Amino acid sequence: MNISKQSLRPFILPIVLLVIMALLPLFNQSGFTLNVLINVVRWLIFALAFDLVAGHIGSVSLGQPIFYGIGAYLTAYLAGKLGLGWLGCMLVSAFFMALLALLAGLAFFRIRHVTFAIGTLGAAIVTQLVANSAEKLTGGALCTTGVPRPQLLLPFMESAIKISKPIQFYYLFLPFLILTLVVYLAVTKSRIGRAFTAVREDEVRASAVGIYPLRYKLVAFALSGALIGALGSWQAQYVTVICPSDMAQDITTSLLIMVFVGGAGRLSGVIIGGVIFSILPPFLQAVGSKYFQPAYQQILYGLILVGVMLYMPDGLDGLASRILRRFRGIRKEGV
Amino acid sequence: MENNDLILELDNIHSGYGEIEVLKDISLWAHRGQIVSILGANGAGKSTLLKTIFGIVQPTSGQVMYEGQDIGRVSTFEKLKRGIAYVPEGRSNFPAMTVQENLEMGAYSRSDKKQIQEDINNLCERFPILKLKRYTAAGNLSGGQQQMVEIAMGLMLKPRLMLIDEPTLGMAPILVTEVLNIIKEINASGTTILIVEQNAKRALEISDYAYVMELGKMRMQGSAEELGRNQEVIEAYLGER
Repeated sequence: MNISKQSLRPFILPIVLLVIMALLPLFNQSGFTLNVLINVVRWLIFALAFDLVAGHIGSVSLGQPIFYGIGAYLTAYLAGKLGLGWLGCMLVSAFFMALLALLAGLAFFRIRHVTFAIGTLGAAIVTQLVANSAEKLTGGALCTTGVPRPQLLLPFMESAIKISKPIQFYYLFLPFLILTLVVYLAVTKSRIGRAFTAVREDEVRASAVGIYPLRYKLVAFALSGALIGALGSWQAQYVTVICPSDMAQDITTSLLIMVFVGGAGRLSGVIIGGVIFSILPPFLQAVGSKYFQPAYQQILYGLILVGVMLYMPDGLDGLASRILRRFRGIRKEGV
Repeated sequence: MENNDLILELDNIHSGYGEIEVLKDISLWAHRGQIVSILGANGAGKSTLLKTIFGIVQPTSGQVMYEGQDIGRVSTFEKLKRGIAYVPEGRSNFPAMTVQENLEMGAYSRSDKKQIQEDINNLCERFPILKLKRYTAAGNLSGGQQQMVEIAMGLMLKPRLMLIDEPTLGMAPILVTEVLNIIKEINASGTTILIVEQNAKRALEISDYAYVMELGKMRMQGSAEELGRNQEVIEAYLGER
């Protein structure tokens, strides 16, 4: 009984989350709500993919927006010029971004820790600069526009629906979050996940038990790249515009704050952080941009991040479980 | 010495990291059932030697023979399968995992789930401290206890040859005795041991044979008894005059 309870625990939070997210639009379909919900889905997928590398193998890549941006540009080409469908675009983007991640990983995993972070940050900046100046390919700072919207054709339908309303996007988008959660759980709770942890905690020891660190780092990086590439592809088809600034560093800052404030390497942590920090900015801005200008957000994020690193290394998730444990302890003593 | 109870033989090994050559022309033999220790100061190349034998560091030239076969190009995974275990130096367990999980990780290259649990049970019987702390995170154990976990992780593969790197580093004398006794016991049950130690005096107490390394070269070798009497060794490594 105890064992089954234990093994069910990781699924509770994601299921509760998904049920709430699936039902919420039934009660409130305002543009604001849908916008926030789509934001939550996007950031959760991004944060989960980011955490596979940062939280599970312990290599904090600051270059993940590269896969997002290139996945989006690739989709603009595939959908716009070649007329490939939305799902096809996502799959092809995922495939090529996994491939890119493998190649990039072979180079970047030769360095580690801070140098790895700086190296990937450099790659992200260079990629953004290239996107900015390669006007023929990307439209430069004027952006690539007119990416076709998805068309949904299911077997029982007579003609395809053009997906253009936010609610349609939302419900087409939600299964992608489910898929990401399934992939995340399947990988991290399996034998591979244990190898990830081993590599994160001690590479030499991992080698000593027969785990090749580089191999598992590449697996995590490729998986993360594929998910983020598909996400970029989706985003391109949703907003129909892609700009170099879509892979700017503020994305990475947000990812860092979601994952590390929530709790790196733990699903519940990433969900908590992802939900809080994707809901907070639109609300704060709605309350009044008079008091809270977007520029302050980055400063505030920076301060929160430093504070959490110093005083709450396990993040909110760790804090929550510490409090829970204390409560349980008191209850036990009381009995 | 041409005989078939030779379990490990290193011939003229050169090895290092990139451009930097750490090991220069190292030769070494270990016989089945022995405890062989490698002594030397910091930076002598002792740890690199173990890493080279296990294959985490590739030799640039020379031959590593194990049970009569050249294992220079064999993967570390395959070496584990063939019965070589490696216990890295320092706190080299997985601190966030429990002792139980650490032991399971020790058996990562095995796939016989049932037998793995049985072996863990046996190890817990053999080393009571593991049983006591079985579901505690390894990082919360004391230094000596962690070392036991690390050695036990190596034992999960029932190795015929165990490479142990500085098992007593930074330990109180009483724990040193405990850890060395365990190593002796493992050896008594048939595992050949190659151990790297800075604590030359204590290492010689349990060893059959020993090598002394200096700046990447073999400086001296001999039976533990011989080296224990050797004036040079006494002055340089045993801290006596």
